[in-house]
Amino acid sequence: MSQKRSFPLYVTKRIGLAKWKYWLIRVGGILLAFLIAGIVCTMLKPGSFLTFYSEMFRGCFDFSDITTVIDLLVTFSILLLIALTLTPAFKMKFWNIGAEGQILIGALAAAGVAKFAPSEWPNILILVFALFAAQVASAIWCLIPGLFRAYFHTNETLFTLMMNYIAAVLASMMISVWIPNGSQKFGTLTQGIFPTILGHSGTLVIIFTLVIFVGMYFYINHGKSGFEVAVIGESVDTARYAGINVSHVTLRVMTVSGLLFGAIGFFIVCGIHQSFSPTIVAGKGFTGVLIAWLGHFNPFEIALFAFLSAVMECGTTTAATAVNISASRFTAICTGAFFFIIIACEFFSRYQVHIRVKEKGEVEEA
Amino acid sequence: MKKQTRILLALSAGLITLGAAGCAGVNGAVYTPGNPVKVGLICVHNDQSTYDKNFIDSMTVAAKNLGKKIDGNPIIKTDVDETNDCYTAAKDLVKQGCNVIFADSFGHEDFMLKAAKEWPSVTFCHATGTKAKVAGVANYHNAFASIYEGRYLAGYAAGLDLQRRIAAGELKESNYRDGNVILGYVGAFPYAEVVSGYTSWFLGVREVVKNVVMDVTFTSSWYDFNAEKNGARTLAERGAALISQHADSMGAPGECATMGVPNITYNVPTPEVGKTYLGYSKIDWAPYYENVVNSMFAGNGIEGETNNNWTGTAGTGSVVYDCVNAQDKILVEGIKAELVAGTRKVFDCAKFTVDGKHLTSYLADVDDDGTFTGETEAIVTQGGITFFNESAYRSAPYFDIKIDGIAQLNN
Repeated sequence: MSQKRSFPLYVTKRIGLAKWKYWLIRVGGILLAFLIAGIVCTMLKPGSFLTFYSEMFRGCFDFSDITTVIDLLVTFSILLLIALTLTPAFKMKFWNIGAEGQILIGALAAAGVAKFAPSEWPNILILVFALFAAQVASAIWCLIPGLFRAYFHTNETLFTLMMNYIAAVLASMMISVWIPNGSQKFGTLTQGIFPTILGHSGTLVIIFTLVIFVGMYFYINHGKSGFEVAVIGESVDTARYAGINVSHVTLRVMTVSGLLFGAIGFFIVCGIHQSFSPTIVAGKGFTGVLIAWLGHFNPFEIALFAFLSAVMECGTTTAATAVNISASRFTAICTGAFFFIIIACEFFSRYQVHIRVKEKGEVEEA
Repeated sequence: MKKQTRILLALSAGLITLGAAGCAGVNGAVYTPGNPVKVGLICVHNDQSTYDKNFIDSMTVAAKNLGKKIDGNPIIKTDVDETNDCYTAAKDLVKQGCNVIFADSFGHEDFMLKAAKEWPSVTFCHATGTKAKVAGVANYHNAFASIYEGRYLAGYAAGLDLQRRIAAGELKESNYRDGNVILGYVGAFPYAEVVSGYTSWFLGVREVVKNVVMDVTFTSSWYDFNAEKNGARTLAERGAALISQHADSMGAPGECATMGVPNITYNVPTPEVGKTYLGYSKIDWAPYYENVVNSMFAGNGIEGETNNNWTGTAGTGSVVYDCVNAQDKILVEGIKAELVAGTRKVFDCAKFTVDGKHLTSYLADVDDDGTFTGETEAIVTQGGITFFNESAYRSAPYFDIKIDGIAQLNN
């Protein structure tokens, strides 16, 4: 028996939790998160509990103004795309947490092309070139840690994380080169921009997202590549034994990630913002990591969590103004509470916590 | 899984149709003079940043002074990035029925302009921007204040203090370079607004202490505590006997206190750092906010505007400064009276040289047409003084000349 003073709590793996119970816990967690957001709002501004929910709803589903709904769907689309793009790498246990920078580099390339393309070119041609440049840039940014991991077994988590910072500095530097008056503001694009549909320039992004979603679904679940990724994720040795070249698959997955991150950067610059700044990805690259993980790499679950995050983000941003509190902090608190609770639910549905009861005859040493 | 795909597709299609069905678009409120004005304000950060706090506080004061001319409390949106988020914020303010929408950050400009074109019945007023003059959008306005006057006055006050320290023999040998006293300035970007700011401050000090030179460092950020702290330290280590800054954090004032170097702050007074605090200058936006609302209420265009640009001055109460020493303040008030009367000019060409020569002509980049080249002759002669006519052709500063005696360290 244990001779050491042991911690009064211990956990065991939970076996055979019914699926409906698991989902009940999750739904309960989600509702709790939204409740906590309301309580936080009330604490910051007494009496604002109901205003919070009505404003939250108005910020997401104001049907008198279609563009509000499109704003929500665009936020949802970007989060969904990022999480989906991360999924193949995560499935093979390549922990890429550099989405933020990988998208930013693509966005930077797209912005450069859109800004400096000859104005005689038709808009569609500029868009094609911007997309191409973004994809090449992001693919290179993804392949650097991919190559190091494949050939030198470098830790990809630290490597990709570090490259986020390099990307951010590179973006700032390029702006100061492009904008010679020293103001460091890129301004808006006048060419290389998505058409406005239903009063919103991001409408096409939503449509492209649907297409990519279907494509990624089949890539992850039905293709040979998806199978190889799954095998490597289970066991690298098994994959080797089965004749899968792990290095090649790593590089392939990172190339695909890069192509998609480039497209996302292109969507953000030419579609949604029609502008560029070093903070334009706004942390979504990190939120995407959480969403991919919470969605168990299942595209439909990922879509659910991306949607809930988008509701949280758009809703709390609007609600913050109504109760006159700092938007970014309030959104950060609510999003933080949301993820914290969902992760806790995840933990408690996988593991059971027990209180250690002293057994008779057990001797405790001082 | 196919079923799920179908559900998802149906859901999104449903959402879009539902939205399209109920979609009426956003209509800007039409304002009738004499009714309370609904006011919105878009801020790039929140009241934890001294820059935004200055705007928010000014709005609070203006709202109090305007009383019943304002409809309820102004709606303030904080932490609005200089991206399409600014347009989205403006849209929400339009939806909530705002008649006039203000924004406080330079990078908001393009998105404010986009919104102004979309909702012509709503007035859009952008502080620090440069495009209203050339945009030709009737309901889009720029505003700034001649803060170079405020910095000049704060510099003058600092010069009086420096003069006393020199007389008392408090300066060390390291504070001199070739017989000149070294000054330091922590700037944000090498941008006209910053260049205009540090040059006017330098000229203010030099009105009192003739033998000064200045080092300028840039932080490449409008708000970066560590960079501003390090900038101030670098300047102090290079011998600066007096430091000021454009940047907004407590980084530079705090470091000046540590290093024992007197400091002039911007946007916010910092007496809490102790005896190194000499004074400050800032823009008070309340007179502008009150002017806009009063003009709208009366059914007029914004009073005092030229080409949709409004420049606040010491005369309108927009330029504010203060210094700790009460005796000095009396002297500085005299200088201020001369500026208001126009008998003294900050950028008096007789008072500075460029490459050893006094300027007689300079084409300034006033029109923000994307070319970044000068097109407006900015040197004028009025009342016997030849000077650089700052903030006259548009509200935002356009003085971007590197004058003799000032060295940019890291640009």
